Amino acid sequence: MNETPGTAPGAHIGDDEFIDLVSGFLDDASRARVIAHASACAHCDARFREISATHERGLARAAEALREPAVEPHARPFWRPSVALLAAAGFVVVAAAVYLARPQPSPSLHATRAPEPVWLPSAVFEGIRRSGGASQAESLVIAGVQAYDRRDLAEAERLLRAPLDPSALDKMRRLYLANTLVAQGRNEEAISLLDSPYGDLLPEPWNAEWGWTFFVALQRQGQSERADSVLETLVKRDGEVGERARAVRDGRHPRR
Amino acid sequence: MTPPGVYRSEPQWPARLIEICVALPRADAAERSDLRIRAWVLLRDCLHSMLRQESARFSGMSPEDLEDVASAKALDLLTRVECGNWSPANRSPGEMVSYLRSTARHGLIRLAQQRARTVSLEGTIAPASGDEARAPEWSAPMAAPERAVESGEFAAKLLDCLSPLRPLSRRVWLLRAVYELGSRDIAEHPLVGASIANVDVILMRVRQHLKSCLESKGLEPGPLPAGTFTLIWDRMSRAAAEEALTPEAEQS
Repeated sequence: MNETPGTAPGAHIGDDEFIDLVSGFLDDASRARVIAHASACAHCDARFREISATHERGLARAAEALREPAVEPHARPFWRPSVALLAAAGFVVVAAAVYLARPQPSPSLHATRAPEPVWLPSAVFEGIRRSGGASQAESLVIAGVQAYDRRDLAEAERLLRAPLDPSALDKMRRLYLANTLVAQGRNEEAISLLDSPYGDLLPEPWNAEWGWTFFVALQRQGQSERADSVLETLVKRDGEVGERARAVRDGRHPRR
Repeated sequence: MTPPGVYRSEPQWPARLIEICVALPRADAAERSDLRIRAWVLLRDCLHSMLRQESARFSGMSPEDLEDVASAKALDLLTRVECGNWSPANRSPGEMVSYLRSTARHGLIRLAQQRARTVSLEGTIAPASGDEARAPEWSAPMAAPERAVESGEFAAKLLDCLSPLRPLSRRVWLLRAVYELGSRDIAEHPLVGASIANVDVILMRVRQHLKSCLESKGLEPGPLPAGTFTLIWDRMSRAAAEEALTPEAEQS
């Protein structure tokens, strides 16, 4: 690790200073010192990245978390809706009910032919199992994939829910768990697992299968606009997943 | 919250947090909305850092668990500030840090208790031996000193490839590829404000552009070399500050 002026020898930058940096509380000289140190120190660079990511996720989620004001300030006068406002609100509710009850048009080009989820192969785990080098946590994932392979979905879900440290195997675990959930019709839970960039870090064909499972879950959940945008990326792929995606786009039956 | 790093002087955030909490109940509607977001995000950031340090004593806490606890506790504290049940006005920055640390510890204990009940009800798998009291390992491995040059070159080439893109596209790419945010979070980020489908399309286009651009410079798209993130963050945050001063840049 390279030391920078102003930082004690052997010391890393602390979380306090990184929080000050991402929050914009540091003056120019302090900012330059922290940047110089962190760009030359792998540990600090990685920690700064984590703190920045937490900060950005907080910014992204703030609007939703704070949507309902926690409490009104004391000084705010008590407000009572008038009869006219209540009547207007009632009219809006009735109008909305009539609108929602009307016959629904097809929401998307592909909505009428929601594709089937595809069973993922388990061969990739054979090598790990045979080598005997798996930790107990990894063994749980392997057992989960075996249960998935037997189509024992309840057992597969139970075993695959145990998280691992961040690793390629944990991303595989997410993919198999999401696929298990889609097979059980629990598309929303699968979407929340797959709506992350982890799939990009998997090798093929798992990377492509991540995208396909995500597409299927979105389509089945009725999120047609998003499903279409994922499909747009899948049709450009080579291999079986690309073929499947083009079949859906062209109105042919997707392969199982 | 100083260990394991060293701060040259007193951290700024506790005093800033006190200022925001004091201003919040007196703010008018327009200012109040901004202060609430700043207070919640800052509370969440520092609680998350404390939770991460404290979590070494608890097994089975994932990064997502810690963020969930930090979010909930930050909202709880904000609620208490707004309804007048907690006023940091007369507290010192040191007292603020101690109070937040105790809040974080309490949140972890509650989560561990809830987990224990769930585990006993479901009869879930026993924890792996050796997993006890282990801090999550989220840090990248240490880089050799010569990697500093490599990461500097990588950052320069990557930034060069990003430079012709629209500011919105760069932001979306940064949030996804570097911060690993999901499409929904990116869409709702205050500096993005796009639909989820639009985010996915932007990402697809940026990836295609970066792949060909990096290949033309002899680089493979892949994980960032150690040290690169800080350089990219510095350059992009400066660029964002300049863009904020010239809004027409968004149109280019």
